[in-house]
Amino acid sequence: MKRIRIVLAGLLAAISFNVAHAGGTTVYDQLGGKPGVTKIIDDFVGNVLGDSRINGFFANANIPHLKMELVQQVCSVTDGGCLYTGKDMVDAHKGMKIKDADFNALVEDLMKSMQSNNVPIGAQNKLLAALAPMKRDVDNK
Amino acid sequence: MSVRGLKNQKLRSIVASCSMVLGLAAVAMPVAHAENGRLLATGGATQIEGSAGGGIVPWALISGYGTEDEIGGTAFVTRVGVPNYDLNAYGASVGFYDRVELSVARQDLALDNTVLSGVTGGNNTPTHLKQDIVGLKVKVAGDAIYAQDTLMPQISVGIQYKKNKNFDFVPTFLGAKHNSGVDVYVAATKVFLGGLAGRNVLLNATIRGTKANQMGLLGFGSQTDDQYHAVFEGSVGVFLDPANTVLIGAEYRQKHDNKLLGGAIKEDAYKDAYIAYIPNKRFALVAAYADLGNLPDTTVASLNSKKRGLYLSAQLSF
Repeated sequence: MKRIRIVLAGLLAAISFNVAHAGGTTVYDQLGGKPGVTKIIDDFVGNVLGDSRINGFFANANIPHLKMELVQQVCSVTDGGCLYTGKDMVDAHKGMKIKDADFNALVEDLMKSMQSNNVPIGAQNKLLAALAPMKRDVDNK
Repeated sequence: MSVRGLKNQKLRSIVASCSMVLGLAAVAMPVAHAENGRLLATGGATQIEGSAGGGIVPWALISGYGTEDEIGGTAFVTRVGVPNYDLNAYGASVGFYDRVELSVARQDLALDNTVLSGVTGGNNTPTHLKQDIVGLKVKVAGDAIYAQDTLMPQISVGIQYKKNKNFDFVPTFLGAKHNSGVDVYVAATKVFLGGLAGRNVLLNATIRGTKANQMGLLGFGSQTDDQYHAVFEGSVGVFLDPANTVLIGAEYRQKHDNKLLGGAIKEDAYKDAYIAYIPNKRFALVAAYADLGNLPDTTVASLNSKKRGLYLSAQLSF
C-alpha cells in the first residue's frame, strides 16, 4: 500500500513536471512550426471532408479560410506566438447541434493526419490536450 | 481423474463459457445497434466482475463506445490461472448514453482435486465455486478524456450484486456468513494526454465498500466480521503509441481479511501488471501477470499458499 502511494505520488509529480516543461522547445516547434502545422491542417481538413460522418457540417464552409483559422488556432494554443482572430468556439458552433460523436470523429481525423505526418507522439498528445477543453464550447450548441 | 479428463473438463468449461457469452451478447446486441462514436480505448476493458475497468478494478468509464445519444456494450471472457485454481469469468454489458452501465457476469472458480481436500474430504472430483454478478454503474461527473484543463476526473458510482451459487459447500465450511452481498463503489478515472514522456497516462482510484471474501467466491462476511469495509483500488496505465492501441500498467486491489475459519484462512490484496491491446473499437485483449496473495490450501500446514499466475481477457465491443 505504501509502495503504491509512493509510485502514485512519483507519477503525479512526473506528470506535473511534464506539463510545466515541454522539453525546451514549444509544442508548435515539435509540430514542425508553420510548414508542419500547415501540412497537418491541410491533411486534417482533407480527412474531414472525406469523412461521411461529419463532412455535412462543412458543406458551405470557406475551406481556405477555415484552414487559415485552424493553423492560427493551433499556433496560438501551442505557444507558436500567433493570435487567433476567428470567432470564439461557442459563437462559431452556435446552432450547429454538434454531437459528441461528431466531435470525436473530428478528433480521429486530426489524429490520423498527425500520425500520417509522423508527428512525434508527445507533440500529438499535447496538441490534443490543448484542444480537448474546447469540446465543451463546441458540442450541443 | 486423469490429466486427459481434466483437460477435457477444462475444454468443456471453456466451450460453455464461450456459448454463454455469445448468448448474452445475442441478448444485448439488438438493444445496442452498433454505434461507436467514442474514441478508441475510452470504454476500458472488462474487469473480473464484469464492469468496465482494468483487470481487477472497476473504472469510472462506461462500457462500450456509445456517446451521449448512443447505446454501446461489450461481451467478455476472462481466465485467471494460478496453481490449483482456475477462474473463468464471462459476461456482457450495455452502456446507455455514456451515462449508465448495466452488466452481468458469471465467475466460475475451478479447484483442482488437492488444494481443498481438507474441505472436500479427499473427494477426487474437481470442484467449482460459481457466483453471478449484476452490476450497475452511473457516471455522475466529469470527463476522463476531454477535461484536460482541470484535474477533475470522471467520477462514477456503482454497485455489484453478487450471488454465490455454491455457498453450502466451501464458503459455509470456512465460516462465511452470507451467500450474497452488494459491493458499492466510487471510481475516479482520468487520462492525462501527453502526461508522461509525451504518452497518455491513465490514473484510476476506486473506493469500494464490501463484505466479500475473495470477491464473494468464498461468500460474504464471517462469523466474527459482518461489517462493510472500505478498500482502495488503483490502476495506472501508459498508452505507448499515438493511436492508443497499446496500454501497459499495473493495478492494486486492497482486500479486507474477514478472518474465515477463525483467522486460519487469510486474504490478501490482488495485484497485477498488464498489457492491453486495443486494435480497434470491436476487440480488445488484455494479458496480465496477477498476484492474488494467499488463497486457502488445506494441503499445507498453514492452510494458505500464495498464488500467482497468468490473466487473459478478451473483449468484444459493439
